Amino acid sequence: MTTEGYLEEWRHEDLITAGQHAALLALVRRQRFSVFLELNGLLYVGVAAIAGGVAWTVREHFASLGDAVILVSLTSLLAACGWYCAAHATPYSRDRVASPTFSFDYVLYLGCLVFASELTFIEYRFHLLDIDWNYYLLVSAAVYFVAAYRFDNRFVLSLALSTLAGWFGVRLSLWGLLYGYIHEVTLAYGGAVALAGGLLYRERIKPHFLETYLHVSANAILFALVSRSNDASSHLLWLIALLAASALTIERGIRLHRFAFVVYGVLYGYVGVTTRLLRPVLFRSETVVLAYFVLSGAAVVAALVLVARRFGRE
Amino acid sequence: MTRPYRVEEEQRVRVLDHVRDWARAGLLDASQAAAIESRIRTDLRRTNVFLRAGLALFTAVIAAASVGLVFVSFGISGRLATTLTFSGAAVVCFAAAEYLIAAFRVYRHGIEEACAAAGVVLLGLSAAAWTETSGLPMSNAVPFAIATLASFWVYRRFGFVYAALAAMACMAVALSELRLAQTTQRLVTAGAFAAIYVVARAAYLRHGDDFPGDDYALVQAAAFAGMYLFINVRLFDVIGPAGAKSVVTWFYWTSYAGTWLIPVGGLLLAIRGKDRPLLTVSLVLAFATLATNKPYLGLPRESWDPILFGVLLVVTATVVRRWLARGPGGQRAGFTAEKIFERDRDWLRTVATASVAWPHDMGAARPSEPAPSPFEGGRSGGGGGGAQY
Repeated sequence: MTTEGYLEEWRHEDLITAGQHAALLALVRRQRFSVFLELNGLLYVGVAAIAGGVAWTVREHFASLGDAVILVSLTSLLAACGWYCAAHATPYSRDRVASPTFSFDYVLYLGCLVFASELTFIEYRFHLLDIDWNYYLLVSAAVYFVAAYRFDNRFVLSLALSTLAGWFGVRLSLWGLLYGYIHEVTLAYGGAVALAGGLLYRERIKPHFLETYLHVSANAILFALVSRSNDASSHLLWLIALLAASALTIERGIRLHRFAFVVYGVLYGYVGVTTRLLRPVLFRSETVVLAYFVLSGAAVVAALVLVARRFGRE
Repeated sequence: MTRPYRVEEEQRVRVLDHVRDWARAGLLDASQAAAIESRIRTDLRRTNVFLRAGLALFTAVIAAASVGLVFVSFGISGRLATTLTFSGAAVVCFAAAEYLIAAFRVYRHGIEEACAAAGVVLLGLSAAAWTETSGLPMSNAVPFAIATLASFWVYRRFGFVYAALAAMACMAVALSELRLAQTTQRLVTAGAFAAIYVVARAAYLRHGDDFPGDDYALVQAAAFAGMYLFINVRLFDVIGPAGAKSVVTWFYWTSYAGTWLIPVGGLLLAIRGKDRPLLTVSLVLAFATLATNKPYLGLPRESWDPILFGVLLVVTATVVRRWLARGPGGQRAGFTAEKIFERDRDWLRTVATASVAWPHDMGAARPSEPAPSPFEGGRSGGGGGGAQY
């Protein structure tokens, strides 16, 4: 039976009202067809292309254009974006706020990307912070966080999180003592992101952003633990920490029905354990290695089937 | 070809998805959705998309390791033994997919999908093992031809749309191994995609958006993209070295016209039929045409090209959105810029979250070389003598 047939049947059985029947029929017959996603796609690609083109133009033509022209152009574009956002912004709310205009989120995103280009250019040309240039990353991340929370923008939040990751990487390795400890830096970043997301969620400040924080922190922490536990010289405690983190991620994912986290936990945990277990026999016994993959793969599949049947049924 | 699932079951699965979308959009209340769901629910076992991906991945690991284990344990080598082992493993994989569906009624559950996909790969490897040392002419094309047929069979048998897309990709590779002249090869491959497009479109128009029409719509859009891919001889110039040297002049300029006509034609058809997969593909192809226009005409790329491109997209989206919003009831000819389904918002959220991983390089705007200082080389003062002095 076709969808239209089902609608007719539900109408006759009074499962849906006449109004609902008409509205749903219009959707099924494509008498009402939304291009919301396509138009958003055009805006996102457009803004990304503009920002990329601006950065490329500055890089290629700064000598012929001159500092003043570049600074005035970038500042004008930034000011235009800022003016648009200030003029159209709705009052701040701790909860989810709908975008005031169709292109608002993308104008804000463009403004943030242009801001990054301008800061980079200023530092390159005028060396204001010189060796402490990483503070630009920290300041940028702070500006993006403020903008993301003020205007409820996930694209800018992601930009803030990736810029903060850059600052962590640069700053912590500059401290010298931590030089080379990239796993610990990633771990610290993941922990900081999880902590910030959790605290903001507890304070009910844009609680719908929590999932973005958790995706980023889960991947950062698990990746760091996998990398650290795979070092030939690493202590067994790193593997135990990885297994604990994986188990926690899986448990939270199942409990909250966020199955992406279940897969993160399973994948990172499997890679960590496999690398550790197989290192002594790798290149020595192909049979053992292959048998391990068959048996361990079967165990993981069985566990995932169990989770799928009990919790993840669609 | 008979499928392990009844058409009625697959239709119900699709309708169930619609009902959930409608409930999330507030078009049905929770009790109505629950009542309808209980009526149309099937005994097919489905699972969450992430668990499905995880199950598929680990099933593929098991399949690959099992075949490897057989080779290592029995010391299999030699052309015939290798071919037979791969073929036997492929049969086992297909049988496993059939068994899982028949015994457990799994539907897009990851495991049976990975088994079927492994069967295709193993059949291709079997053909490769057989033809590798055979000395047959065009022997490299045979494994891909076998993989094409196997993928197409998997699509027909199990209904996995991506198997149809894989069949098309394998077909394109098989044709590229025929050692034809560039122009001929492009014409033949584009022609094959065009034929698939025509067949899939006819099937889509016959069935509409209901199953299996929704699957044909995806196949049709993919074939349309494949046709463009082989018509546009400058496509890979955008990301790699120039690749249009060996096509004849008439084809070069005909294909240039084609790169404009195909997206425009696709957009017109998609808008007229409100065909979302074709609309999305045509938009992407239009981007590709704009990106390859300068390479086609032999014009140098400028750093501000992306800015113009971006402005064009932003202006187009804004104008279309405003035009639609000003229509009666916020729509024109049935098109609306308003969000109807929450899944559109889900997509945007996913892209926004995933954009953490995009490179946001703060060094992108860093000038590539330092500007010459006006004080260097005595250009200022001292009579303005140049650096050479």
